[in-house]
Amino acid sequence: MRITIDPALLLSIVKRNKRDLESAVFRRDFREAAIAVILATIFFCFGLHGGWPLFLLGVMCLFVAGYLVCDRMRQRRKRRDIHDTLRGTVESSLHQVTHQIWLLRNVFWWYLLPFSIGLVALIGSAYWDTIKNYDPGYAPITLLFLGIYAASVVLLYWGIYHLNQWAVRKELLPRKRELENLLKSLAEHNELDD
Amino acid sequence: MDDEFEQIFKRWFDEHKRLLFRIVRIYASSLDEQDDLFQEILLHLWKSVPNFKGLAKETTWIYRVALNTALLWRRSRRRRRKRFRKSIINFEDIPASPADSSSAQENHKLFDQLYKAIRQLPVIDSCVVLMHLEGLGYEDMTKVLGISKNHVGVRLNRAKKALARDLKGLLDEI
Repeated sequence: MRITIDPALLLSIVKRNKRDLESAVFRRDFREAAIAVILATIFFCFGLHGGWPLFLLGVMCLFVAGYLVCDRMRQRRKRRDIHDTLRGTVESSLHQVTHQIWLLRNVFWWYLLPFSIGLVALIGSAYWDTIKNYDPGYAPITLLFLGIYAASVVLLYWGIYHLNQWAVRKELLPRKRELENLLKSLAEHNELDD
Repeated sequence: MDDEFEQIFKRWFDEHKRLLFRIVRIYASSLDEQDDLFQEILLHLWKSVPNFKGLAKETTWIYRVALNTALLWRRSRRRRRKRFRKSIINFEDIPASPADSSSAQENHKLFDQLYKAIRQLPVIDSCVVLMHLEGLGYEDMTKVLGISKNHVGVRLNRAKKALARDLKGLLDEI
């Protein structure tokens, strides 16, 4: 039995897959940038009444979003095409994975710390105002609430940090080993060339 | 311009579909995985068409795209891709051996065993064997893999010995 596959139909499916993939990537990038911009706008608006710590938080949101976007654009430029040699493509993939590992291992410095600066300013400022204008009726509750809020933020940060490290261990490091082995097998027997 | 790219893609598929099926059969085991890998290869092939300027041979280009996709393909991402993809091909319906061979059943068994044996080889050896079976010369293989001719030769000899050992029983039977 001879199987006939219609190239035109196949091509329409491939084009649809390409559109779907590009749309999924765009939606993910847009969502991340949009969330940062919306949050920054909210913080700036509240900052008009609530003071400089909220402005600072807004600035930090934009910093993190900007860092992510710039990093993604830089990595995209460095990526080699799939029609390069196998060695070239593997080297490029290995570089991408190594960079991802670096990004996630240093999530504290470029993601958590900027927000921390804003949150510390906000909580610290609220704490200072409460102490300065001490009201025995409200101050203890306010301070307790601030304490619980600070503890929740620390817990959340701990969770985010460990989730990223888990992703490095579970997904990225095995992938890195796979690529390194592939590159090693491409490099074997090089002494025969001498 | 899009028409021209479409014509190129269709021609590449018509002329090299057997190669693509072989690559998929070797680097993906279940029918589901084969369909997923096949769609990935076609997607990368289509994306590569505008970059093809005729400086490399078409065969070299297609091999590079297909093998790079197969070797870097991640089974773990299949579930994510399945969300927006439907199966398009059932590899059970596609004969492993040429359809017009006279001893179809024996050839079918031989080809199945051959794919299984190639799958057991180290990854680079399997690439070299695949290209050798397709009639590619050492020069073309070096352009696909990015390794020296010497290295290709060593790999091919090693792979041939391993395949001869693995398939000896089957060849005796036939």
